[in-house]
Amino acid sequence: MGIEGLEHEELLKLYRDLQLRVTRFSATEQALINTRDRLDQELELYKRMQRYNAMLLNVPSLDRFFALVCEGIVDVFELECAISARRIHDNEKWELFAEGHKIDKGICWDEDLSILCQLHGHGESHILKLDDFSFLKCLSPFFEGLYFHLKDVKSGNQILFLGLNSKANSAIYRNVQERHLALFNVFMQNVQSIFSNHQRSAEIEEQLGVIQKSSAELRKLSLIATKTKNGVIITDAHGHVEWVNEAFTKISGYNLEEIKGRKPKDFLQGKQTDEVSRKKLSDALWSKDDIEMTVVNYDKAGNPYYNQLEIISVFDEQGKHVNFIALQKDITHEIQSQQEMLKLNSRFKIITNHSKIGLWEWTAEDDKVEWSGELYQLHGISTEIKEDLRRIWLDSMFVEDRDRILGNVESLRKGDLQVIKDVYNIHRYDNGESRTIETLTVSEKNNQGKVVRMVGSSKDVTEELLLIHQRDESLAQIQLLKSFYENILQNSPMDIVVIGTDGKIVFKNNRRENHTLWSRLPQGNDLLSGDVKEQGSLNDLVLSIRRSIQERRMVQWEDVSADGDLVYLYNVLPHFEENGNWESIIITGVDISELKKIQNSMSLTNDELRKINLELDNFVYSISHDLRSPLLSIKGIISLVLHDQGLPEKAVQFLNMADQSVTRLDGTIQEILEYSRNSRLDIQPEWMDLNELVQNIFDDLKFITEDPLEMVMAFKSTSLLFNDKARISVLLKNIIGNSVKYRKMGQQSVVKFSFDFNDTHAVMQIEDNGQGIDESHIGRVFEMFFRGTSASIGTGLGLYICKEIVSKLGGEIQVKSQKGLGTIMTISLPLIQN
Amino acid sequence: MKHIALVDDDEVINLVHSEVIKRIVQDVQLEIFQSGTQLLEYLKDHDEQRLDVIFLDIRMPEMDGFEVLEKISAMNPKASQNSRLYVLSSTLDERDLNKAKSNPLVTDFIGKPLSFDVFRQLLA
Repeated sequence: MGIEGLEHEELLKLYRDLQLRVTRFSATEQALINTRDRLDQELELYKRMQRYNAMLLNVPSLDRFFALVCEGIVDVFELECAISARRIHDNEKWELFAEGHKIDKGICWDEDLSILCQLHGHGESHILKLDDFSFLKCLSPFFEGLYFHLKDVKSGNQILFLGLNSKANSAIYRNVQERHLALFNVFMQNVQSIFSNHQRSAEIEEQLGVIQKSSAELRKLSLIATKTKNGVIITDAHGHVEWVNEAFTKISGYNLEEIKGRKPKDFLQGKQTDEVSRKKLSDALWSKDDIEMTVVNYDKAGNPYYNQLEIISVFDEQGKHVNFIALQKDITHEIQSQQEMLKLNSRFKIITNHSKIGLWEWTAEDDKVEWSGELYQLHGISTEIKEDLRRIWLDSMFVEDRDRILGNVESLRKGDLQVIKDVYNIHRYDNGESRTIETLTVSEKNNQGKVVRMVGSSKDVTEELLLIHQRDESLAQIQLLKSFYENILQNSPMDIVVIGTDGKIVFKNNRRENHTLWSRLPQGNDLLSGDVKEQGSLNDLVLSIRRSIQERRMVQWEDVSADGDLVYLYNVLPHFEENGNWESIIITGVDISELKKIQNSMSLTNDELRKINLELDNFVYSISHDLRSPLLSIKGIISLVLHDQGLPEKAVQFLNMADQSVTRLDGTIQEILEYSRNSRLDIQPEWMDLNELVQNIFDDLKFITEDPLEMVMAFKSTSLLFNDKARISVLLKNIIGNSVKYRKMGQQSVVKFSFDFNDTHAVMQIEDNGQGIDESHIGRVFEMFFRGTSASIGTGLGLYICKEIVSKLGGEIQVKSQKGLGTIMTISLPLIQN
Repeated sequence: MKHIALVDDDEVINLVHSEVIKRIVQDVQLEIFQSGTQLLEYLKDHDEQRLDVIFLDIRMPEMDGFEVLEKISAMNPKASQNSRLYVLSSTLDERDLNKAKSNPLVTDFIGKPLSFDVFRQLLA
């Protein structure tokens, strides 16, 4: 039992132990499987990376390279997108390559990329976390990524690679893990070495290009050396001939085989090669300095020639002297023609003919004088004449000039003088005209110092002198005018200053030397532009000057002293040239203090006058009121008496007469008042409606009779008029009143009012079918106190007042009438601007 | 019965006007004042509305018609609210006329003398 029991115990323990081990083993096995999976995956990534490395090695261009790195980052690390970027040293702009649609290449990444590089340095890979993006502009939608940045310290060139996952798609993509970093680092190191390989091969290609270009240039140069007409000799460092061109052989007669290895001086120099040239040449060769000189050389046949020589020392890149190159040109011919040039040639003659200069030449050898065609023309003689030119010349000359000119020519001929300039007068042969000749004569001597030739040029300067004379005269006149106007300006009652385009004072009259504003006026740019530093009046003046230029008009302003006693009126007037630029500013200042005082006192007087006028107006109203009051009482009493029935007929008649007289007296008072008002008061225009005005007048009038009355009104466009309403009212009251008063008694009366405008005037017409005016009276109806008949009801003032009103308003009134038919009054008034 | 007041410093014209009124309206009580002050005193003492029509002159010594109008409007509005007030004047001054017509207390402006026709129209 015991053993069994023990065995059992043991077995149980063993079993448990075994169980524990199995459990542990399976955990280890799981861990192993995981590790294997992970390694498989990493191996897979590594394989992909190798594939990209192989592809990157073979890309044809750097652009493609960067694009492919992007693709690689996205593919290998299974990220959402990638960026590769490069930046050429100082250039601010990053050139961007991207993979994955999250990257918008259109926006500006510069700032973000530069910040990233500053934060994370270069040469190492990093994992970027959410925090890294939070403060970036374009990269803020991302939450993790891989970073690698490389900067070539020497050139400043930079490359940057980023792999990125966005917040939006974080669920879809596998997270970036530490083990990615190691792989990324490996990938980036590979990329870096492939990139520098690419760069280096690009550099090599560039150098190859340069070499090819320079070898092409070298080919061209040797072609030039071969084909040029100048002789070319190339020697070694010791001066032994290595190569000559065809031109040299042609000039010197020597070919390369004959002279290879020899020194040029040994076969080129000869008897006439002077010592100075020889020394100079050997010094230059010794010191290896470049030299240019003319030397006499000899050709193979022994003939001397002038050689214009240029020797250039050639050094290799290490600065070692390797060659001399000598260029030579045979200038024997040029030197000969230089001597020829001294003679007058035909080309020179053509030039002188065109410039209207006559030329002559005297040679001692045959004592002969020759004239150019122009000189013949100048004297007015035919070019056929060849003899006696000297006598003809002397004859043409004014007598008073002859001795002087002959004396001058003689001293030239003797050699005392070499050049003479003179002016003399001649009479032309053909028309006897006087001309003035300016002449320049030069003598030429031979080696012994004897004069062998004289050459002269003569020019007709008559017109020129005349012009100069005229110019002098007009200048004098201008000067005279100038001083005349300056005199006016100096004595003008104004202070005047003129300022030029440089902002400086070009003229100032000195009426008041110490004028405060002028003396303190800033000049130059301070005046024309910039901040205004001045205060008060001076500030106003500076601003006015600027404004006058800007607005191209005169600016005027008054400068009042602090106490108000002194008033200056300034006019700032810019003056413009025809091309529209301003040329000067004229500023005038004038003391108008006195004028201002008078103006002020006048406006004071005006105010007083206005007050008096108003008082007078009130007075006139009071008087008329006081005069009328008793009259109106009388009128009232009469009406009271008449109201009572049963009065004797005679009494009624007398009372009516009394009433009429009172009415007339009242009318007179009213008219005198209107007359007085019209002559005293200013025109006070306002808007009025003539329709309403005429209707009111008519309404007041129609009660004076029981005869049938009709008022007709016609307005062409409007019934509104802007004018003095009180006056127009009196005017129309009188005229329409007349039409009613002088109607045909007991008949139908019609008064027609019409109103129209033209461009300048308002025209009113009042037409009636009344009694009309006697032809003999028609000229006098507007006279004061004129009454047509003794039976007239009026005072003789009505139409006179109408005429006065119309003339006060600047208009005209006309009357047309026929006895027994009616009357037409036409009033035309100038329009008043509102 | 009509209750009518005449305010004018001119006794004659007051007489004329009262005669015209009496001949048209038989049943009338007339109050005749020779100054604005008298009218104002009357209005003060009789603040029950008593006057149907007031004829007021403008040009009067001491106090002119416009001053009277100002005082009335400053008074208890009951005093004149049912009265019709006519300015009756011989003035030719347009300013007086316009001033009178634009015053809210004034019913109309009438030129002196008050004629039978005009008075009849007023009553109508």
